Amino acid sequence: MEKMTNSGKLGSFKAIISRGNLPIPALLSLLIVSAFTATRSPEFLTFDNFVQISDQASVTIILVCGLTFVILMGSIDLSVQGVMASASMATALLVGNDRNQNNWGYWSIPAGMVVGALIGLIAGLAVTRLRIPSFLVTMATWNIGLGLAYVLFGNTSQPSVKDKGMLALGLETFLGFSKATWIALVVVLFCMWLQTRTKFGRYAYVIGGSEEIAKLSGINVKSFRALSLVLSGALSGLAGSVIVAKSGIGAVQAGEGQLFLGIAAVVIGGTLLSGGRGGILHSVVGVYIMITISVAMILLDVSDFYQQIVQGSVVLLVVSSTAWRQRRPLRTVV
Amino acid sequence: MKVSTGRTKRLVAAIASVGLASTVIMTVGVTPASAAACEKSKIKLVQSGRGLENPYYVAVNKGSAAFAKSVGLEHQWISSEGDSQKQLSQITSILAEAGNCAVINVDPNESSILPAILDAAKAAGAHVVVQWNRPAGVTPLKYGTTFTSFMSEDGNAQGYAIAVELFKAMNGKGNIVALQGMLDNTVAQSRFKGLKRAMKEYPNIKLLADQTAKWDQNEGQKVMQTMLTKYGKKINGVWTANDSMGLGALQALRAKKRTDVGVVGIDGLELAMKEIKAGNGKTGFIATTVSNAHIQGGYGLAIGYAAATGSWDPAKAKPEERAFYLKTVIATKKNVDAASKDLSIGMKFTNIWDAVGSVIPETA
Amino acid sequence: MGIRVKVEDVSMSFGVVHALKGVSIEINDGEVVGLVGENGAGKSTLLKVLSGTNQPDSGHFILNGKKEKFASVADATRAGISMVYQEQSLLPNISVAENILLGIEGEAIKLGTYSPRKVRKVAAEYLRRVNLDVDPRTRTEDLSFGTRQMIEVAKALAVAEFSGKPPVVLLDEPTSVLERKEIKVLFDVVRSIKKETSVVFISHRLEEVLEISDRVYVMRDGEVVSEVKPNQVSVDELFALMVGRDLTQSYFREELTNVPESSNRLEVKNLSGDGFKDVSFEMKKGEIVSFLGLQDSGRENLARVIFGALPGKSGKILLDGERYKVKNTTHAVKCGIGYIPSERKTDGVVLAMSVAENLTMSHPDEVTTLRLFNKGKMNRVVLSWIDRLGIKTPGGDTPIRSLSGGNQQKVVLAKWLMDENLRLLILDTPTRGLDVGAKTEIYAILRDLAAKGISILFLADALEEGIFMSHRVFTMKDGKISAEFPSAPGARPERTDVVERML
Repeated sequence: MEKMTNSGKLGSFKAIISRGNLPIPALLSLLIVSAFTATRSPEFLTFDNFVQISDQASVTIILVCGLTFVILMGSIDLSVQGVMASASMATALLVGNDRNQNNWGYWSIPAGMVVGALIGLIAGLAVTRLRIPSFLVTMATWNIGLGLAYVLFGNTSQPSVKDKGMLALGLETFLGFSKATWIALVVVLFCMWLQTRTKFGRYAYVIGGSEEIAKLSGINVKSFRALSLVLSGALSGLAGSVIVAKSGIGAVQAGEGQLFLGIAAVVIGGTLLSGGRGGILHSVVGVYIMITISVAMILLDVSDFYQQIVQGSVVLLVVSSTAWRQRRPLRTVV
Repeated sequence: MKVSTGRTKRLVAAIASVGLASTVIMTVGVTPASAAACEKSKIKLVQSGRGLENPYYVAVNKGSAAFAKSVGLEHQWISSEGDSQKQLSQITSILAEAGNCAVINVDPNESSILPAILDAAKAAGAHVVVQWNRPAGVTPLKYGTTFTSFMSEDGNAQGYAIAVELFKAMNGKGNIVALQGMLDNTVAQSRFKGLKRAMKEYPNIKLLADQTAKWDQNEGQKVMQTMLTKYGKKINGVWTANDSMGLGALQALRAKKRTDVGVVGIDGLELAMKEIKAGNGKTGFIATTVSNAHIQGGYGLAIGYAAATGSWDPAKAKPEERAFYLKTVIATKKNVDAASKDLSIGMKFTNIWDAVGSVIPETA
Repeated sequence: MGIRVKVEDVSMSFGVVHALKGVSIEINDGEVVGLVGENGAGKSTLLKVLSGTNQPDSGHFILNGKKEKFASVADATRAGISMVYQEQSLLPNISVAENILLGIEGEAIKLGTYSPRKVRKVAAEYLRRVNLDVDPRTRTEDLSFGTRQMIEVAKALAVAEFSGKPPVVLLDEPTSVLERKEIKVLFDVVRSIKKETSVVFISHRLEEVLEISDRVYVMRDGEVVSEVKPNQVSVDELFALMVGRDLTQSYFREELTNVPESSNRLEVKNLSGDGFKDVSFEMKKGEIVSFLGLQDSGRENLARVIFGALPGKSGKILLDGERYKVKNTTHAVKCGIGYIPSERKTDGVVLAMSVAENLTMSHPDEVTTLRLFNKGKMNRVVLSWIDRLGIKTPGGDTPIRSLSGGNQQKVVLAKWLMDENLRLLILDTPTRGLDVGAKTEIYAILRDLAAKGISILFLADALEEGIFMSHRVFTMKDGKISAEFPSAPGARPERTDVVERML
């Protein structure tokens, strides 16, 4: 009987790389940016700098983990800033603060996550039951989140955190790294486990690869998609709570700039917006790239005007190299 | 042929007067509706700003409320929510309703929307007092009495004043870093110029670096964090163009246990005031400007009201009454208690020109 | 040997079209059942109904003595019936193991958590059963098309067996995308699994059906018209049953054979490109030349290079005596060269567009006035082509995806035929996946073109097609031309001779 062979040395090597699903272009970009900065700035290659970059990246990393699953399935979540706003206000008003008598301590953080998860649930239901595209739904939940935050803000003042534990969480370090960084690490490990070891994670790739095949295989696509939005909401909520610890206040502007940063990080990391490819590690590397660029700008004393050009160029380069590998001769436009 | 002289004369006179009238009309432009004085009960006081989620506008609104109360009227707040077109349409609907008795105290979302607002008000015969933003070349003196007054804060004076406080706390020597606002923003630019001006008078102060933190607290924290990585112990003081960024910088300093560094900002945010009060006057948050929000809200309406009731004629006003900078008042540990009270309480509007700090030159 | 599945009196209509009329068949234990018929005869529909993809209007199935109806694919797979679809149903971005076990992870998933080791083990077992030596962890898109088709078979097997019920695997045209070598492997696998797993097999290639099946049903116009045993019937007889008339003589429209002119249309000298080297040949005006070869023969890329879709490395091409430079496809079209690809659905038609749009897309001049679309012109042009080629479509605005494969291919043909400038038409397996009726119509069109002086270079799908349709046959092997055979009605080269030069 004839056998079809696809193994031997080349086959196993290929299997390992594909199994690993490593974000090669993103890592290379990070390497290049870092190498370039290191040659011009003596402070860049210090442990302290790595600690600071990780700290600055931590909030975005947390929310990007949730965002990645949503994007893997072919949807998008634009509500990040709105969720962070309401979660931040909720957390700041529940932990010991200067505006009311609440004293929930660390429990205010899960409370922030619940707020985020609920907003995510609204989005999830709207997308799966009402069949409205996620782009539109999450723009709406972005506004809902902001609106909720305004209501909590109540025309008075930004609540300021008094709980010592919470403040310590924001300011103190553990084994050299900020506590926020550790939180981010836990989130990443959890989400990597989700991605490789659970139905939810594996099916995210299936649904993103082909929703039709997923349905035909008996997968409950609706549930998983809604779940991804709930998770994204919960993690954005966590990001908002962590910001409360870091900044010491609850603010409607808690999530300012995080949407662009998050989506750019996901794209630069190599997760395709069309779904089915990429993953948590990719996005984490993407965040590091974005943050490293902005830190490098300051270390090199370069004006902010150039930072935007550099960030944009890096995105273009990475996206081109990803698309380059998928080019076909008879296609003019990818 | 002999023509009747009388008829000719009348014809000539008629043609001449039509010619004269049209020339007058053309030179004057849109014929404004009757700008007669308004009766108090007909006056509509309107305050337009970005939105009440921002503590600054909350304070503005309180000032407006204080003035309205002082003359026994209600005022209306409208939020533009960062949308210039929305702001314009909100104002035009109010003008349609209240006509020439509308008094509009507006903080234009963008300078570019102001001419449209002024034109609409002119057609209705109303009065507009403007805060902060106006396009170059559009001034109260040039536009006309519709553009009743313009007030702003002197960014240069502010940047200078807080810098001086910082340098004094540093005993006149050391290194500072600066966190700027959005770089293409005129306010950010004037404030930075103020810093530079102060530095000329303190030759032993050195500016290590300046970067933008986009007016945002979290951004301020991040930028400060990186500056600490780069300059570390070299940093002795931090100048920031607004309190939000300053508070962010303060957090970054706290994370690195740098209790030896002083920070200054602008705006007079409640949190900044609290930090100043809790500090020692030499490190941590040292100084900020006392917020003029309530003054802008209250006196803006007061000036417009005076014009609308006829008690003051903008056409005959002094230059500093048409365009002025508010006074720059600094809050430090010494006067923080007084400075952090709710300043809208006890506002008296006996002299509506109390707010004037200095005139804004026409060329500005 | 008992009856595994009995289909009783199943009927189904799509609007006014009666796809199935009271169809009854039996699938026994341990056998391979073949299903043949023209396009529209109902074969695919029957399989879709059996697999639960579509629900019939009336009728039922009997499994294990019980009456059953399938409301969904899940119902059918629970009953032990799974299908290998015509379109690839594997996800390229996940591993082979995950694809095979998609939806049937069973023990491998506990509490929503995955055990990669278990998944790999089960998958490896099924890969072994289909004789594939592939690491289950391999990313599916890294594998060749043929390998992936076999993985689909493995998957169907796994799905069918997962039910615990007597498994039945339905194969809907599995060979249309495979090379000869791969087909042999598939047949070996089918033979080895049929003891436990009954198989239903559809193919347009009648020899294949006769080779692998134990029994064959012939369908025509939604009904089962005949049941035969392969050893009792020949291909021609089967064909006659299928079409209901005796057309085998003129299947390849030999009566329309033309005599090519004497002057050369195409001269290829020492052309080299990706996958082929030093190829030289000539084609006369109005000549039909076929190229036969296996997967790595280089014939595909040869065709693509001549059309300018791929760059050539060295060599010279003369078109009607003039130097023709391989630049790009736009240049090729301008020079009067047309190309019809094998991947009709991805490279030939734009499924999202209408018939009219597809027809006119390469030659906008025909339907525009001063670069603006002229609706009137468009309608006239489109209708005339629909008429000329006998394209079955309700109208020009019909979305092309709702046409049958054969009619879609006719639209693709029309697209190129519109060019009055057309000198050379290159076709890459143009009749692949089409039914007998559609094929013979296409053959007639090609003969018609040749008679008009257009030269035709085509990569044949099947041996017979290459031999019977052309004036000359070229075989290619390992990137070089290995033989040239003249071919004429009554003087056709021997199949074995040709095959020998291909291998």
